[in-house]
Amino acid sequence: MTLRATTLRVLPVLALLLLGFSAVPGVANAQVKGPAPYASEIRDKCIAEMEKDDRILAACEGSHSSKYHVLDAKQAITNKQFVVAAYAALWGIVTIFVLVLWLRQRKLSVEITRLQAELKKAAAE
Amino acid sequence: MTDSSRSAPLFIGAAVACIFGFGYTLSLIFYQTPLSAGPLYFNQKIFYYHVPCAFMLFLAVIICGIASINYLRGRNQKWDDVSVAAAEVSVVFGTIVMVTGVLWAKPAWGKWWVWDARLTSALLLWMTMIAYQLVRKYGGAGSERLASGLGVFAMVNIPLVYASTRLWKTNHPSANTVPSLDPSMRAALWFSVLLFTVFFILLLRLRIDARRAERRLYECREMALDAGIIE
Repeated sequence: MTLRATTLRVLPVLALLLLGFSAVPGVANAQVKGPAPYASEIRDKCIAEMEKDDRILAACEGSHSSKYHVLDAKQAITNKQFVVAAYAALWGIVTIFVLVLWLRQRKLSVEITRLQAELKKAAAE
Repeated sequence: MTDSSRSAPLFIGAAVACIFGFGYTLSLIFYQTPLSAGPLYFNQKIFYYHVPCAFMLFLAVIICGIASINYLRGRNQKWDDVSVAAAEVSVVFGTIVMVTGVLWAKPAWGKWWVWDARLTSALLLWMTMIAYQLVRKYGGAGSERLASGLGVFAMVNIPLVYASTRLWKTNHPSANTVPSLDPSMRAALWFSVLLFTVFFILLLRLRIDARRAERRLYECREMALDAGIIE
C-alpha cells in the first residue's frame, strides 16, 4: 500500500475524528457545572431582612454579598465561553486544513488516473 | 518496496497515536490539572494548546527557512517542496495561535488585542508566512526564489518574537512562567507539546507528499503535451 493510497484512506477518518474533538467542549461544560449549589430554605427571608436593615448588608460586604456571588458566576460563565470558543477554533481550523488536504489529494489521484488512461489509449492507437 | 509503502505503517501508527493522545490530553487538561487562581480561572486552560501551537509555528518557520536556504543554494526542487509544505503548515498553526491568543487576551487583559512587542512581532511572522503563500500563488515565474527569501526573513524573525518579552515590557507573560507552574500543569503542557509535534510531522509529511505528487503530475502533463498525446 503506497503512502498516497494510505493517505486517501486515513484522511477522511482523521478528519471525522478531528471533527469529533471539536465537539469536545462538552467536556469543558461538564467540568464547570459540578454539583448544584446549596440553596438555603430561609434565603428569601434573609434577603427580605437584609433589605430592611442596611447595617446587615454592610456587615456582609466582601465575599458574602450577593453582588460578589453574581460577579463570580459571571466570571466563571465568561471563562467557560472563551475556552469553548478557543478549543472549537483550534479543531475547526485543523479539520478544515485536513479536509482541504484530502480533497486536494483526491483531485490529484483523479487527474493521475485520467492521464494514465489517456496515455494507455494513445499507446494502443 | 518504495519509501512510501515502507513508511505507511509508521504513518498510520502515528495517526492512531495522535487520536488517542489528543483524547488523553482532554482528561489531562480538564480534569488532572488544577484551576488557575486569580482572574483567569478556567480560561487558563487555553494555555495547553495555545503554547504548543506557538512552538509548532516556530518549528514550521524554521524548517521553511532552512529548506529555503538550501533551495536558494542548490535549486534542488526537493527542498522547495519542503519549504512550501512547511510554510503552509506554519500558516495553519499561526492562525490557531492568533485566534486562541485573541480569545485568551479578552478575559486576561480586558482587550482583544494590544500592540505590545510579542503580539506585534508574532503577527508580523504570521503575515510573512501568508505573504509567502500569496507570492507562490500569484507571483508567476521566479516566485519560488522570492518566496524563499521571505522564508529566510521569517526564520530570522523568530529569535525576535521569542525574546520580545525579555527585550521590551509586554502584557504577554514571559517564557519564565512555565517553570513556576504546578507540576501537573507542566506535565500536561509538555505532553501536549509532544503530541502536537507528532501531529505537525504528520501534517508536514502529508503536505510534502501532495506537493511532490503535484509536481510529478505537472511534469508528466508537460511531457504528454510535448509528445502530442494530450491537448
